[in-house]
Amino acid sequence: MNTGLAGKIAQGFIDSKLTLLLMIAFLAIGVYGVWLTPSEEEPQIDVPMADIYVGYPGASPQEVENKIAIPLEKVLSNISGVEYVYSTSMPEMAMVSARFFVGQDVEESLVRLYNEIMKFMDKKPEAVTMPMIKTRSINDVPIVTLTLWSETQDDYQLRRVAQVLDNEIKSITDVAETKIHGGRSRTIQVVLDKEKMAALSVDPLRIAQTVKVANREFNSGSFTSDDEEFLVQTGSFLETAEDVANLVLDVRGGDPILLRDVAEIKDGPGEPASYVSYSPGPVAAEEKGISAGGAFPAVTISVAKRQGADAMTIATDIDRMVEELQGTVVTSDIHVESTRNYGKTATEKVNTLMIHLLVAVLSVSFVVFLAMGWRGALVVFISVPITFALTLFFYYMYDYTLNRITLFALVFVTGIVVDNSIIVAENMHRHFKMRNLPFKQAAIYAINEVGNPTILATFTVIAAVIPMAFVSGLMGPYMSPIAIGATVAMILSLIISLIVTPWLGYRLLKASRVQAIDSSGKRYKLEDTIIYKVYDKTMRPLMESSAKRWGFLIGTTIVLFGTLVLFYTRSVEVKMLPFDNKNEIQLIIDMPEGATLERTEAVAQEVGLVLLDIPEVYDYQVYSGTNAPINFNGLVRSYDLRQNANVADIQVNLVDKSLRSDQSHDIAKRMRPMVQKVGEKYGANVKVVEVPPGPPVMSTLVAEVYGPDLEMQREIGEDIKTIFSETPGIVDADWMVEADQTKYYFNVDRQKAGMSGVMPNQVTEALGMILGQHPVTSLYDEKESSPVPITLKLDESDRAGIHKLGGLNVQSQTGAMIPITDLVVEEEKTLEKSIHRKNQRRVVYVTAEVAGEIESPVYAILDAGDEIDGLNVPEGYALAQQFSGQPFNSENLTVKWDGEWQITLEVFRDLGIAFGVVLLIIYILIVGWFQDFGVPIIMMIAIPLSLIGILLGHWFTGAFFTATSMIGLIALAGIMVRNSVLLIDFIQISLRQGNSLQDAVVEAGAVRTMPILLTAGTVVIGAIVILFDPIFQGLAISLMGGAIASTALTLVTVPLIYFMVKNRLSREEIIR
Amino acid sequence: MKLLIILSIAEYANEVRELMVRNNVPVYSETEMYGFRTERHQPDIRSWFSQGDQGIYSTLFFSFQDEKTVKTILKEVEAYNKDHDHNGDNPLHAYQVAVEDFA
Repeated sequence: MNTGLAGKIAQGFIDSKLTLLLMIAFLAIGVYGVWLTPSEEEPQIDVPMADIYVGYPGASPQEVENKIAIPLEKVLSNISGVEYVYSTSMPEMAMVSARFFVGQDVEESLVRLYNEIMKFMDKKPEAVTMPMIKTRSINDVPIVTLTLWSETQDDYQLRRVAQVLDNEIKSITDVAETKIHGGRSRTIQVVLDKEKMAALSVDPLRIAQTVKVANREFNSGSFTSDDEEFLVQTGSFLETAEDVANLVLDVRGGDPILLRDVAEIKDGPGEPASYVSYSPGPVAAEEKGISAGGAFPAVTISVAKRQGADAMTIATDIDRMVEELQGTVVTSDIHVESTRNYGKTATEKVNTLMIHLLVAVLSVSFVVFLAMGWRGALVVFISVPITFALTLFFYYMYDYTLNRITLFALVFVTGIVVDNSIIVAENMHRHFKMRNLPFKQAAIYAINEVGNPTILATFTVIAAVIPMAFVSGLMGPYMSPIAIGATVAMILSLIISLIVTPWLGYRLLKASRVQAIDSSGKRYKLEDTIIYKVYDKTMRPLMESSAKRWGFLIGTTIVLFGTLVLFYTRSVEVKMLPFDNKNEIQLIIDMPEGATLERTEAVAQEVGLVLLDIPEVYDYQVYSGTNAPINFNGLVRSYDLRQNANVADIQVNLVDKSLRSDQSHDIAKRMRPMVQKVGEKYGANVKVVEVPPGPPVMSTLVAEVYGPDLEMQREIGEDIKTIFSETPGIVDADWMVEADQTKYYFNVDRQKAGMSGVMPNQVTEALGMILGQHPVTSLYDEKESSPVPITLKLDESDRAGIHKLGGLNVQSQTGAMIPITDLVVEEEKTLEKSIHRKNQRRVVYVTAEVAGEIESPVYAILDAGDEIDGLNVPEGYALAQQFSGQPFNSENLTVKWDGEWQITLEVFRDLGIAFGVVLLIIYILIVGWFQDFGVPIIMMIAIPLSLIGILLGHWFTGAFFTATSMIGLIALAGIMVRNSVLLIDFIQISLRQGNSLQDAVVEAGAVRTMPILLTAGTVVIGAIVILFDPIFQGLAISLMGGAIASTALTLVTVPLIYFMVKNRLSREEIIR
Repeated sequence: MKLLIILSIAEYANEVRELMVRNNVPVYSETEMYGFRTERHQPDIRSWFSQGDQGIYSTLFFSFQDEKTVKTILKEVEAYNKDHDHNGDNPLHAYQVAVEDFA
């Protein structure tokens, strides 16, 4: 048979036994793909990041900046692919971070980074330490955290158990890094007695040297004797606390002075550097029958996984491991609570989306059932899952994981991919009914007939979604799987509709070969149908009266602009992504600089108690002096660096979202004033941090202040911080400038020291050893899984205050004991503040979140921006606000908005550009089809019309206009243009058959209405399932509102404008 | 000597070939046909796309045979039409044409 490509394919498969086998095989590889594809919570994001730490003992931030930060920044900026270089110059240390462009190859980027840093080595000042490079990636985020807590055991015991458990967990396949948070580890503490040391003329430096020297053992070589070689090992390690205590420091008059004579040796937990506790919340308390709010000592093990591994498998293995070690390692009085399980949440997410998919397919089949009966519905119901099965297999082959983004792509296209199958099945159905052709030929003819237009329509929709793959920045990895997934699904659905649908239709639709003549014996007439009558009544008056025509068009335009005003009046708010409904919330507590660990812990516990008033809280863990296991948000915000005495994190776990009515965002909003009230009492800054649904940023609202002078920048920064805290809707205002902290400088009087025969470094080292508590060496205990440090220290009471250090002596070269206080001049100073730099410019960051009155940073910027314009700036300067890029130079004061705004801007800009490209591609496709430069423009008028429905939909539901709404708008462009193509195609056919332009318009409209409604119906029904998902709500509203409004308006507007344009031409001229 | 002509839609061509073999027709010829029904075009309200003229693919078989064979075949065609194509839209058409003379 002489057919086109579509007909040829259908001909090959329509009656082939292979088709059935292929269907089974496609489904099977789909199931196999789902089974093999690892599922995880977040999409795979490749953003090579590295932090470089360089120490510079004694240097001030300014010096650190000049000698380390600036040269290192220059070196890093040389590397191709680096997007941002940040640096923080602190006293004695610099941290320089490089962030590569999203999608850069991790290994390649890091090799380049190491290479460039090697070049820095010869430039660095001698005193500067070797750079320590720590790379970061999304795989560092722990997927499982286990919290061990006990009513009877202390943190030291818990940590020892955790250590063993941790070693076992590490042996599980695909487990990457594990970390233990909290708990004191075993330490040998040498508590010096000042008086005894003075009496026996021993100074700390000598003790340290003695301990160090005694702890040596190495292979000395070998000797041969009697033709045999013997190895020699010399020295002996310190293996027990007793060994340490018995070290001989000196011999006086034949009597040895042992270490135990001048110090007390303690073997056991070291001094706490952090406190971790577990507290059951209202829900856990009820579940377990314990009282809520009790703070039990705890230790948390966090487990990260390797890239591409399945989170669920690892989580299950860990659970099994814990269960098997119960009783032997984990005693009955230790509870192991799983405080994070991303494996479970990922699986739940995947399952929910799978159910959404199924519901979408079922409901779309139902729409088809209404139009074509159950046989037609069955054809669609079988074809669509095969399309999805193949798409899932493609994900596996393409190394995608099953995550909320890749599955969303499938839900998103459900309403669209069914179209191909529906079009083919429906046309077969129609031809079978008409009985103009023999059965099989009718089938092939039907497929051939719609083949080319279907291919065109598929490409129109693909053209609409594919530009999303080009969104840059951190949002890219969230967008491109949607674009690629949807495109693949569309192409596959086209193939399936040409291979499987004909086979199914040929078998299932046979029964529809009924009479084309209805029961009353009359042949069916178009003019008698209701659709024709309604359409005729609507269109004729418009075509006959020019005034009505213009009235309608101007009216529509006014409505369109009227709905756009909703943006301006903030009736529809723009936000990148709304908050997701998660089961965790984090509290970040910053005590004033200088707060002790114990103080911080007390405040954190008090903040925790407030949480008991929130009924949805399952449990919470307080981490004082250390960070809680980070999540993706914490990774970007470097929360893992929170290791000071004045910081605490509270990890709040909520009861599962299925068991509560409020979304996590609402709970966070309720929680914020409660916890901040407690914080205020103690001058603590308490922030409620939610896990963002999209890419994380330093803070939702970030104002970067650039300027010629750091002091000036800080002043402006402080003003902006005040503006933030006074603007309603802006919460958690903070800035990255430390509060004043007192620091004592013990300046060694070189002259005095010299005259006393003491080297200045003896003083600095002695103090460093005792106050810094750097381990002198470590114990060699074969059974310990981690090193046991030996530290020197003074008793807590002996070092609380400068005057208390007075009794400490150093031994001069003559052997005399000289009090340290005699050699140093004490000076009280304020600790110098850190200097931040971004892309080689000094910057002061002011941060805030938005919640409550304003939910979108866009409006916060507009509100705060007006206030900032009114700020007083020093004479001769002006304060400019910048929304993208960095100021060209630092000569003037500039506030650059960053944070979520930056990503919002990037996304909407890229999507906007993408949309422009979409329009161009669609134009080209239609010109190719119609061979007319003007007609495509008429067809594309339908695109803006969808905005009316989209905006009204958002307004009625009170939803945010988000990035997903924008995706909906773009995808609708494809669908709407396809409808216009079909309308005008039919008008031209009708004209060729000799009808007048008016009649042709009415006939085409009447004929096309049903299929256009069916298309819109499937899109709307397909979108209903995602309407209640907080993130994809915007898309659902866009698809539903846009499809309904633009379908209705397309049916009238597009033919009407076509009529107006072509009215003056003769019939021959139009169809030529 | 008679001329046997059988017109079949493409779908039944194989059956006709089998029929020829069954009846020991030693030589026959076939040619592809494309035919049209010119009923007035009636737009269907639920049609997705425009439709052009619909041609039907058929195969035309012909062979010169003695009358007895031709008769048997015509009977078989009749029986076949009765058994198949219940709607009677596209039956096989078989003709016996007299051959006046040949050399």
